[in-house]
Amino acid sequence: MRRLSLIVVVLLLLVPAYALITAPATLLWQTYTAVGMVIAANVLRRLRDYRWALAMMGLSVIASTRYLYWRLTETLPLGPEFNLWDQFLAAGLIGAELYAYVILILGFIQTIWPLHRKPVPLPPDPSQWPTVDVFIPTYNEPLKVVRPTVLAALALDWPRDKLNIYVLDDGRRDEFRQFCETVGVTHLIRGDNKHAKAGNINAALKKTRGEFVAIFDCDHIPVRSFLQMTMGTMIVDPKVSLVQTPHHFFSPDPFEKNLSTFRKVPNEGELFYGLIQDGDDFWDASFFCGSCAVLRRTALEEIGGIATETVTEDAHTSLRMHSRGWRSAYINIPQAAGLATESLSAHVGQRIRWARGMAQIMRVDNPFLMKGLKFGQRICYMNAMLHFFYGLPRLIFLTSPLAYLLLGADIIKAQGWMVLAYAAPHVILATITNSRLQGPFRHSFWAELYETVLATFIIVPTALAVVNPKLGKFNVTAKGGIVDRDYFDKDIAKPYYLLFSLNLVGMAVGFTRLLLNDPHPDTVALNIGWTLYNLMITGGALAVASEKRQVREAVRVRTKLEAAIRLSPDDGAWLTNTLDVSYNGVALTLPDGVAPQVGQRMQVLLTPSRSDTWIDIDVKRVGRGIVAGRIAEMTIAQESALVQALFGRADAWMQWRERQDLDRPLHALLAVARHGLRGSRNFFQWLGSSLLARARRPAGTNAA
Amino acid sequence: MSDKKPGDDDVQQLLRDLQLGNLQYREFTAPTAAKLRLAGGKPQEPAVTLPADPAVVPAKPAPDARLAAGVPPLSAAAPTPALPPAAAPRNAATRATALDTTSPSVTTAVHESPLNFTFERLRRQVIPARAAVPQLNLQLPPRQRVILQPRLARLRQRALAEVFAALAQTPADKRQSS
Repeated sequence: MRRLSLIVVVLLLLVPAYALITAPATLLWQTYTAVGMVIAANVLRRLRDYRWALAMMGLSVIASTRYLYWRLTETLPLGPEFNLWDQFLAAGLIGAELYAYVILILGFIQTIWPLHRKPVPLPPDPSQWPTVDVFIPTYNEPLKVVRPTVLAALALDWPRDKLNIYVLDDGRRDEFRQFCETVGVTHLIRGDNKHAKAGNINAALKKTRGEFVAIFDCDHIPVRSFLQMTMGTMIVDPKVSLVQTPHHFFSPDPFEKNLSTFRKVPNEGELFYGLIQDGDDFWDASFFCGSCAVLRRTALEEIGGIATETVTEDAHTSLRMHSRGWRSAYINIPQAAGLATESLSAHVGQRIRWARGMAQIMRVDNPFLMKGLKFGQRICYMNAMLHFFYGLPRLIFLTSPLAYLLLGADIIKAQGWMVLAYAAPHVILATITNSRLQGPFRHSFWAELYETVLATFIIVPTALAVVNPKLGKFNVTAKGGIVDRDYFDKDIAKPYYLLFSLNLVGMAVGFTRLLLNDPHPDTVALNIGWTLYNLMITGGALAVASEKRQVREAVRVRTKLEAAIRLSPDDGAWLTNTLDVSYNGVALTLPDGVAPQVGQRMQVLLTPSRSDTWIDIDVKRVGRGIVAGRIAEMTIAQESALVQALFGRADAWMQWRERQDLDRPLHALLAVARHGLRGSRNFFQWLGSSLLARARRPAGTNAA
Repeated sequence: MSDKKPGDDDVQQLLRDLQLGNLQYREFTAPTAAKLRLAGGKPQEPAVTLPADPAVVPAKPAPDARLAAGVPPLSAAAPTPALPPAAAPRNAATRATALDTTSPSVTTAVHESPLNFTFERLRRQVIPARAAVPQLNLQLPPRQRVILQPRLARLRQRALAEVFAALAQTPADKRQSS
């Protein structure tokens, strides 16, 4: 009955919507319509009740559909006055616009009602709690990356007789075996490395027996409450196959590092873990992300283990479980944290793998054709996969104005002002609505920057994966490295400076045409504005390619923990607090009355209310009320105390999202523009110095 | 209804108090608070000491305690995790049914389903509106019956032929005459 009434309401709304979408208008009336829609969206944006956000979505869909209806019915260059070249370029642009429209609509459906699921209580008697195997797969990561994860897993709050921890070492390394023996966890190896991480987990599944399996990437350090936050959902509903939690990163990714936006602007992954997975959860379509999740063994066994046909085995596995009727859950509380990729090249490599994997799944198990899925699941999975096909459309948007400015091609059969009157409400309403929905997790205009950086690199892998899903191999993302100097990564930046230069030339030609009294000044001006926007975005990409130095091997986490210091075991202690802590060092507020010397060894006790393990540090810096030191070689007990104080606290990552600035679209536009300007300046500096170096080089060297 | 995010505050309360509503957090590794001898000379217990759940006794020593004591590791490369009989895998469905004493809703949303954004919601909004009808005191003058005596008298005095003639008029005639 309720569904029927909903359908009736939707059908009743469709009639006026259809009239609004298809009504022809003169430039004046379309301008009135555009202004009215933008005002309405701005009013709705200020209303905090979430139902108004639904109204905004509806308005945005109407504006975008009206624009596309107009584009398809009135602006396509069909007729004898247009040549094949015009029509080819026009087809590219309209294809890109249709793709963006489909992604917009699917995104609205996917995130229409984020579920915000809460943890479910566990049975009062812990003897009734199930057994859990913790898997930590590793291949070539150094032991220093894996150690904290293992020590944190040992500190998980779960009955000791029901918790087994396994390091799944595909590198078959002796130092790993020794470490596992020392700390008391099981070191599992297999005879080959077939099917990479998926094969590694499947091999471990055959050798273990726990009712549930928690999986952590070897650099994802769990907090102690992880299992108690997730397992209640599993126990209360026997059809839940997996409970996923966010992937939280305590180190800056290349965007955050190179643009200095760490903890100020939401990073690339926050939209997915902050909003999209919560939205998926409403449709029972939240999926496994390879780490920080618990899976039910019976569900895994029913589908034959982790999927091995694609390189994104995690999403593929959950797709198969959903198609068998299993449910999934997402708890949006950070319960583990890890290292982000350090360099842009490593980041690009990781995203290429994701893109290729999603394209492979679309070919192997297309969610629109697969049996057993619900409507919402099909939409969510399809959007997750189609999203990674943004490479070509993004490239088209970055070059389309050049078709008119440089090649003289008429790809839109309309006057400039008319295009503006129709396109502006489409773009502005989509931006405002997304800002309302995604504000805390993705600032306006940053998606363009993130996509532009990756666009050219994912076009070929996704296309190849669609043609032949078996092409390519699994590449492991490098973590825990250093960037030893500032440098402009000219290799990875090639597409950006090519696009930047082309748009620069396009803009110069546009201004020249204006000065020469072009017969269509409005169209030229519109395209100049478009190239200016493209210059801003590609300039931002160039700024991301300007790698900043990162010399600390261990990331410092700014955190205020209670602590105590003493100069030697026989001395009295001073209570203080930490300013930042890393795996290698610690900085503390210097209490009055204590005067350590540089080079002196002293002792630190982190969280004295919960630990009595003192850690030795060598003082490196004293002054301005701060004492900082390097942590001396630790025993396992000391290392465990450090891990539990720094990474393992249940509330360790709780406040991170709240410290970020809220989204304001115009401010975000200015911020992206500033990064664009900085990237342009870096590019010109690099270009100037390169040309100068080439000019100074002896003639014979060039020939060689 | 607002779109406030998951109630991180609630979770923090849970972790601080180890209890929130029907959620009970349990610590399986008892925190060992340090006994500090402060530089001033007097011993001090830390202000905050969170006791572990007394009902929960770790079946094995805590890992760091074992390590500190130099106890040999649990297992080596041969992967044979020892599961006690109580921990042996059972049928998940029967176990979950047996444990489902709290019966909380699995999919509890902070805000309600959009499917409710229909007549049901409107109906619920209307009921309280009816229950508290605003009372308006307009202070109008008393209502009186007004009879147009002269017109009524004139109508009564009409001849019968005149009355019939009036009845014989068609609606079109009436419109024209008016």
